[in-house]
Amino acid sequence: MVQTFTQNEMIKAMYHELSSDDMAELETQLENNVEFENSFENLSVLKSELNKLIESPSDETIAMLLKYSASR
Amino acid sequence: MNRNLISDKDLVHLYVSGDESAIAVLLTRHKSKIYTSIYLLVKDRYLAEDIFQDTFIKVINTLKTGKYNEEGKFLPWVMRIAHNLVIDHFRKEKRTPTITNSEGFDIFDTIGISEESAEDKLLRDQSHTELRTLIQKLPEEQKEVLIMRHYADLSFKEIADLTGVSINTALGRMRYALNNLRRMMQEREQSFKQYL
Repeated sequence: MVQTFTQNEMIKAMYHELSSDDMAELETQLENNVEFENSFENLSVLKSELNKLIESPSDETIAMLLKYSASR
Repeated sequence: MNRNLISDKDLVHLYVSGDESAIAVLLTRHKSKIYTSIYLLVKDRYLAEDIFQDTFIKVINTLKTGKYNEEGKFLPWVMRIAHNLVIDHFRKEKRTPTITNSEGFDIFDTIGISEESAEDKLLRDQSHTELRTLIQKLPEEQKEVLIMRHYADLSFKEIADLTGVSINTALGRMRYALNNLRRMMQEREQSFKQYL
């Protein structure tokens, strides 16, 4: 039976939380359904935009924490 | 053995048994996830640095005094501490997070990216600021799940446990968050085009 994937499952796939069997089925659906493929592509673009906001604390903060840990 | 291949659980064991270098690996591995999550919640880099620092001081103290409960995973535990400190901060300030953009001059933005032109940098900063502003416009529950899943890298199951909802509810909130973000981005694009 052909499974129809929901947007929730698409999101799980994007965050690598779909089982390998479901992932294989989802890929088949992506190949055969243009609307579904566009939807997945849009979410992927948004995901990569969100990735651009990833930042790190300063080196000074990390150094202070390591010093604090060593002093305890 | 390459330290980067050691699991969080084993690094915690090494640290508790006196291996100081283990905390450095844990910090390096998770600092961006935790810092970005805090920053998106408090919208202020200096405050985010302070809360990040306080979070890891609590982590270090708990681990050093042998009070760490090993039932849960390391990252969700640290995120819970960070989340509680953010809530404490807003309680102390007697205010809730607002939609306003608190971005001002930022010394961190002046560091690095030497190959980028000033114009490119301005456009990149503007686009990042706009996206951060849109995230702040999301309803709190959606924003929380988006930050925890995308930036803190918690699974939907871990988010469900942390926020006391079902996995499907957490997933649904994420779906609304992503759809709302896309809609707001499209609206911005449309209104921008009107001025061209």
